[in-house]
Amino acid sequence: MREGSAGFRVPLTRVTISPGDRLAAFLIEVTRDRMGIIRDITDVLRDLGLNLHNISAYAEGGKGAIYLVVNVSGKPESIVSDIRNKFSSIDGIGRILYQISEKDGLLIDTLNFPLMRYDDRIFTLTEEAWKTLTSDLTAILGSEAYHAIIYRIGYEMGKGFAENYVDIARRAGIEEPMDVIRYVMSGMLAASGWGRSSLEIGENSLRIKIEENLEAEASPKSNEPSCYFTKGVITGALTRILRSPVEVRETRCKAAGDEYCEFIARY
Amino acid sequence: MTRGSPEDRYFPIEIPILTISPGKKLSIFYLEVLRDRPGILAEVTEEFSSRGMNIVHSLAHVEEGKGLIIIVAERPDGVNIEELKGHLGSIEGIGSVEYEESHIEGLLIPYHLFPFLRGTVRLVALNAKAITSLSEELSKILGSSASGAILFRIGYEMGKGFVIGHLKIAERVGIKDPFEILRHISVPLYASSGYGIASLEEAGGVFSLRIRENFEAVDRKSKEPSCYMTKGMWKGGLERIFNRSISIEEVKCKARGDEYCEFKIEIPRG
Repeated sequence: MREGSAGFRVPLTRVTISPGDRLAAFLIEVTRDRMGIIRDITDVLRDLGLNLHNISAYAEGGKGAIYLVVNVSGKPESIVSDIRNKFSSIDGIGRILYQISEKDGLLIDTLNFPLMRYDDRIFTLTEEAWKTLTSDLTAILGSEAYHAIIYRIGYEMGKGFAENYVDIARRAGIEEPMDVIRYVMSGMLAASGWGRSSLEIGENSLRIKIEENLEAEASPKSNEPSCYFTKGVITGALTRILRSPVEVRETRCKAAGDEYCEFIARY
Repeated sequence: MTRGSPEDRYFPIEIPILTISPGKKLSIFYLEVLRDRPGILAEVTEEFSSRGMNIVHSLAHVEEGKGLIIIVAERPDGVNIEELKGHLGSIEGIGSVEYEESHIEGLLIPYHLFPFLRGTVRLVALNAKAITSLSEELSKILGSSASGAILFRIGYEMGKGFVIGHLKIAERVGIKDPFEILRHISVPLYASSGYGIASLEEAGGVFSLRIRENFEAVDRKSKEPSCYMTKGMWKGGLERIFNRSISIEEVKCKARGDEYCEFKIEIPRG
């Protein structure tokens, strides 16, 4: 069942900006999750007279991690070791890493590395980086050559994405290729931030609808469908999953004025 | 920047973008936090445990008193979801409550965690296998020289784009000097974005950029330094920050068997 889209926003990489403040971040290992552990941590901060800027806490299978950023402006140099010592005495806490802002007002998290999605490393691409890539390559190569290259890049990356989808599916006990497409590939496009996708399966064909497709939103307006990278990704991914040639056409495109992007794949 | 003892190894927070729990029916709840207070997460988790629902993942993020709690739980038969949602929504400080079920037993890929943002900047996630696939296939099709040139160019353009965000952060924090932007923003953001752990040293006007666990060198073997995309990213980014041409060479590479990747960078003083 899918509820209406609420579009919750989750910060994926942690950059804390608090102009003029000296900031300290802590990454706290939770070796035994229990009720009240976060309250114990926030009580320590309150007792030390510290303001918490942000906190993220994650737990799985009784273990996890807590990342938090506090404002230590005006506190003595010993404050970080005081905080660490008090955290260490909390039941269920393991290792504690910390990072102090080198520039007042800015703390860019380097404790949470690498970014992982199960056993797969991930890294993030900004919309601005994508826009610069596409606009400058188009200016250098011309649109036709750019489209051909970006399609190929998408195709090869799509095969790589699909390795990940197949791996996830296998772990969940999903083996049938069509189930991999239906239950993994479609969801992963949204789960990776590219766009909200949904899928309809027909006779030897698939209709893939993508709303808020990053490529379309970052591209200049166009007279015709122009999401070549996405088309390449879908083609490469389906080719890998189905182990057979796939032909994909983009039939609607947000960059061309449609409400969403739509791809029809025939195999 | 200090980290704690040198022996400490990273234990990264996994973003629960997906949950695998073979054979289980899974549900995900998104709870809006309107007013954070001590004990709010405990009250939320109590609602699940009192109904015999095992919590597989939980993620709570709060900033300046507001935020989001995500709970992924196994869903036994007989649980009244609407009743649970009602109770969750009545917890003091909690606003809206949304819910999603897994489409297939054993796997839940959330639909509502979209888009990814860093502040107001939209992000997408790439996985390491995608880059490896791209690099290997381009090399097979075009040869290593041509594929290296393409990867370099892709990196170069991306690097220029990344720095747009770096400059915005610099402006907000009041950093103007390009060397400070490089050291305090671009270098740590490289790790924060998952690409690799970067550090920068200067000697005699030449910068050494050292990158441990660089994304481009993972699971790849090469006879010579070959992180072309990385080289392009840093050249494009640095030329944007400094507004002049810079030279960069990769002198060590993990793909070649070195301990880390290293780039020598010459930035003419303006």
